[in-house]
Parts: sequence; structure tokens; C-alpha cells
Amino acid sequence: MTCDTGDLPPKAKRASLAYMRDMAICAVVYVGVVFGAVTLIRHMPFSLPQWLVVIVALTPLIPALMMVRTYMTYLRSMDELGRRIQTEAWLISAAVVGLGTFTYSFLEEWAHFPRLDLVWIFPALIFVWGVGSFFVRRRYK
Amino acid sequence: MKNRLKVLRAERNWSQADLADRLEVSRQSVNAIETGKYDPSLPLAFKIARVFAMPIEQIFSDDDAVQSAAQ
Repeated sequence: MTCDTGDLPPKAKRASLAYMRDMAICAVVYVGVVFGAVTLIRHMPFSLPQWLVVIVALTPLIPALMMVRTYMTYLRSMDELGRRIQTEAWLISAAVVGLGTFTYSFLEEWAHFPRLDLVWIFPALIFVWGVGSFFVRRRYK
Repeated sequence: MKNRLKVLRAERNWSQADLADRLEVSRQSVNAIETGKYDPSLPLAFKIARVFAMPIEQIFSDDDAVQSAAQ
């Protein structure tokens, strides 16, 4: 989730820089937590009990929620046009990825297409949001 | 909705960035309002009126109302 500070007033520019800093911190924590979780579950000489595997597998959710909180804080600091652009971009992303995966599930079931790993849905949402916000932003230029 | 933002800004020799700073919005927002691509919310429209020290109806005009009056 990127942002440009080019034509922003000073207050919004500060919020934008704080967003980038906090998002970078969240990303570093996320990578650390995922690396730690994978090491614990797959590369240790002993095997963890199932309940502990479940807890460890859920730990990446913590930095992911920190990212969501950082993004929400940034969203609230935007002016009304900025919020509209973000909202439209998320709507495009939800529609494209939601309908895309929904439709693909029929292809999986009936046409025996390869199984789609659920882990790709969130990155797809972020990717389509990025592309969508580029085109939505252009509409208001 | 039409507006006289560009004219009023030019009368004061303000750039889009100057007006954006006064309104605490991005320059893109000012540009989008001026070109009619984006209609501001009521709070932002009132803020614009305060910045120009003018009544809101002297800055913004409703297209439908103008057409109805002409007919």
C-alpha cells in the first residue's frame, strides 16, 4: 500500500510519511513472525501439539491487523476526495477478486480446474486495489 | 454543479497549491473541484466560502436550477 506526498498540504504530508514508516515497521514484524512460525512448525526437530500449531499459524494475523489499523489511521487523515478514491478502488478490488474467485470455484468444481490456494486471495485484493486506485485517481485529474 | 473557484482564485493570485493549503486538502482535490470532476461535500463547500469570504451561493450554482430558471 503506497502513497505519494507530492501535492499534499503539510499536515497530510506528515500523516503520509507516518503511514509509510508504520507500514514498513509492520512489514518487518510480519516477515519476522512468518519466518518464526515456519521455523517452529516445519524446521524444528520436535513436533508441536496440534493446538500449538494452530496458535502459531494464527500469529501472522497480529502484524496483519497492525497493517489494517495503520491503513485505517492513514485513510482517516486523507481529505474527502482521497477517501473517495480509496473507497472506489477497494470496491473495484472486492468486485474483481470476489467475483473472480467465486466464478473460479465453479470452474474448480465442474470443469476440474486446478485448486486455487486461499493464500493468494489477499495479495490479489491488494494488487487489484493498487491498479484500481491508479485508474480511479486518473479520473479525478 | 458549477463553481467559480478558478476565477476567484485567479482574482487573488492564488495557485491551486495555495488554495489547497488554505482548505487543508490536496492540490488534486482543488483541481478536481475546479474542473467539475468532483463536487465537494457541504462542510468543504462552507469552508471554501469562508476562505473566499463569500456566501456559498455566489461560488457554487446548481445546474438544474439554472436550467429551470432559463425555461
